[in-house]
Amino acid sequence: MSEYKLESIDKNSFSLHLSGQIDIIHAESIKDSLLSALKEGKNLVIDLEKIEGIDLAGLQLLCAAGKTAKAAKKKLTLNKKIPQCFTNTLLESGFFRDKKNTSEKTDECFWLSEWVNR
Amino acid sequence: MGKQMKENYAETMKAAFREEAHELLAELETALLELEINSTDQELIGRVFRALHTIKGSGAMFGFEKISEFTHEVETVFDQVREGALPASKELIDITLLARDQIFAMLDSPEEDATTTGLKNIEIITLLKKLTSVDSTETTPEAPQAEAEKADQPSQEVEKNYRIRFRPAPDIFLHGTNPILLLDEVRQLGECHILSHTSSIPELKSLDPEKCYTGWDILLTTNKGINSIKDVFIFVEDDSELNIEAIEDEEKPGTDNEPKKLGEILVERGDLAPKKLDQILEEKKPIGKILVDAGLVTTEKVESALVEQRHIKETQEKRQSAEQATSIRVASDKLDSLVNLVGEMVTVQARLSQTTSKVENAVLLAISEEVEHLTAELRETAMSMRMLPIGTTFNKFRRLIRDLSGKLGKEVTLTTEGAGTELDKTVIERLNDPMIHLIRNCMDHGIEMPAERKKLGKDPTGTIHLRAAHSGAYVLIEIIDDGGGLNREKILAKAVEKGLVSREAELSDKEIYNLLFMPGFSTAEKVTGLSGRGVGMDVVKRTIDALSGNIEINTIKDKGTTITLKIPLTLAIIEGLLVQLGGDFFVIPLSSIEECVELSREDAASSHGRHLAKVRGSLLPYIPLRQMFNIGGEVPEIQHIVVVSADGRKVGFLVDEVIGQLQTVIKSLGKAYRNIEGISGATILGDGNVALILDVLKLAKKAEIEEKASVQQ
Repeated sequence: MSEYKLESIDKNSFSLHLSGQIDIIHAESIKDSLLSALKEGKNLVIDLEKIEGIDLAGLQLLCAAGKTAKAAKKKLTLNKKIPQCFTNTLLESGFFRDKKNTSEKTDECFWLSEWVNR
Repeated sequence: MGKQMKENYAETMKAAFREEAHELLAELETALLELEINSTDQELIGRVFRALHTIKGSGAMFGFEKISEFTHEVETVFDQVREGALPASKELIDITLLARDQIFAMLDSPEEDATTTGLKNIEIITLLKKLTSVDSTETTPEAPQAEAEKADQPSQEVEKNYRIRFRPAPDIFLHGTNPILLLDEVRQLGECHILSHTSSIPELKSLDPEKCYTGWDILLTTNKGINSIKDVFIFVEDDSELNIEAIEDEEKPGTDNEPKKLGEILVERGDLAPKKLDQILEEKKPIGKILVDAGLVTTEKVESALVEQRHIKETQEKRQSAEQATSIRVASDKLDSLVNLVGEMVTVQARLSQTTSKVENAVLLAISEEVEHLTAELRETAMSMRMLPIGTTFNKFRRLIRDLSGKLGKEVTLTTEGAGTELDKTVIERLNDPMIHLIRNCMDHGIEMPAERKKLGKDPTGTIHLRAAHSGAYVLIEIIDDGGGLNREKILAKAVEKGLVSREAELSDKEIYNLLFMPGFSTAEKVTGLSGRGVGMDVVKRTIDALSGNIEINTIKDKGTTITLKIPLTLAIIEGLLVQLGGDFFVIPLSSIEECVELSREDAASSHGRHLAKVRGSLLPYIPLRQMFNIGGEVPEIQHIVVVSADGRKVGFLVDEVIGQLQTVIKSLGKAYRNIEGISGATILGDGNVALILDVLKLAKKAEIEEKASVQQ
């Protein structure tokens, strides 16, 4: 069982460290961790550095978390250290966006404007 | 009768396949040899695989079943290499090269000698199997089936763009299907853009993590047909929303081949009503933004349409560049006759210009000038069609050097430069054998054994560098090795021993190196497996001479040897100097001419009947062409000597008059005159007169022999 650790950075900022497989098998517990993490503070950083893999269910979870944060006017970002397995899944699943095609006003997953466009 | 025609047709098809296969095999060889250096290059592995695949496919189509079956085995192995399951080891490349040679042999012996080729095939396949061990044994029995399937598939379908909308059932995960794997399968079909749709993903608290909320829009360009796309989704089709449609070909009249506008795409996809589009268009803002602002379509849909636009644009550009590079295959004798006709045309045009210059008619003059321009252009185009880059020949040598290195126990790498240099096709073909011989010599005599090289402080791996470059109307081809260089003393001793030169003769370095080209000369102490081709250096020299080329050797002891071939660009047309003797015209190839000097009657008389003229202080032997060709009549007061260099020595040709430089189309003399010494061909002049083209080398030699004979008398 993987552990999902919520770490406080300052009063308003938290970091959620995910590890292991972010997949359908662990989806339920990840969802719970995300939900409780989003209840705290204004800024949440999700750290994916230690994950070993992610599947479509995992991506959906992150995307849903983004939408939730947006609705609650909170800031959700990804840690800058992105593992290759995450990028690969993004590419394979068509989640990856080219800057050329992305309009500003997007209801897309939150990370797109964050780092894909770098 | 009908049957015969059918057979003829089949034969033509087979011939076409053979030609194609030869090209593919050459490509295969090149790719394999490059792969050997760069064994992880996916691009190269792909090239090898494609070549094999095409040979297999078209082999089966044209009734070369054996080749097809055999190639299939090799292809199977390379499929594994492509997938990264097997490394492109040296061993594998060795065997594949063997297989290549085997396919080559099978191609050329259509009445396959079942037992020998069969045995060889089995041998190679066994070798391959050893490499792949378990995997290939499993695939072999499937082979015929795979072949049959392939035949059923409409693989010849044209490339088309498809728009695929895939909204999987929410419970797709629970059925054990991973949508990403489906997407991967779609990617295998061809170039595609995949875009996920995430707008249906809810907020976290209402999200069931085991359900799939994501959908996809896919743009795919494939030639596999719509059915193969459907096959991908065959197991999920029932529960999912799947919509596959071919995007109409853009080349509708009136659309100017431009990619579709964003609005058009949205309308076509049913995301937007045409009327609304027109309304919006009048506002002239970026359409995507307007539409989203107006709440007519979602950003996601616009985005997806934008991807479609880009995808189609890309594939269209690709297709266009492919079209630009298309070529057609033409029998080379058709080209030859075209060049001949152009030659005639050049002659007629020259006559036309000459005639019109006499008739004072401005209109006629204008027409004649236009014809002149057109003819010049036509000649250039016709010539360029016969030109081929020399790189294909270079690649052949790569294999040669590889094989020889193994046999001789030497390590040699080949580097090339100027592979794009173009030369007349016939010239390239005729250069092949001499170059093979020269390279063999470099390998055999030039490059030292690795141990010896180490002792000399050189890299144990020797290098042979092939360089081709244009130089005026010539191409210079250099074969440069970094071996031991030529041994002056050894060559001289050998020549004396063979009685080719006298012991007392004092020879310059150049003259000594030229001894190599004498018939019957060989310094190799023992005959190795290499020198068995029957092509000696004398034959090399003769072939280059026949091409009106030139060969030169430069060497530095322990540093290496450079052999330079100077070859005219084309054989069909030469630059020449037109000269007159009595009433007859002759052409001397400009390439060999050094200068022209005058010879007055007194000068001629002052040398007491010997044919020597003083040119800037030194004596120059000359050949009175009038005597040589038995031309009578009055000798003019002032004659001209055309100084040419033949085999590194200067010789003069005495003529009445030098008329000028001209480009001439060479006509071969008929059978009856073919063996006349001193004449290499003829050309037709503008006024319809015939001028003979002088063979400078032969004439010089003939004069030399005659001179010797007269001295002995």
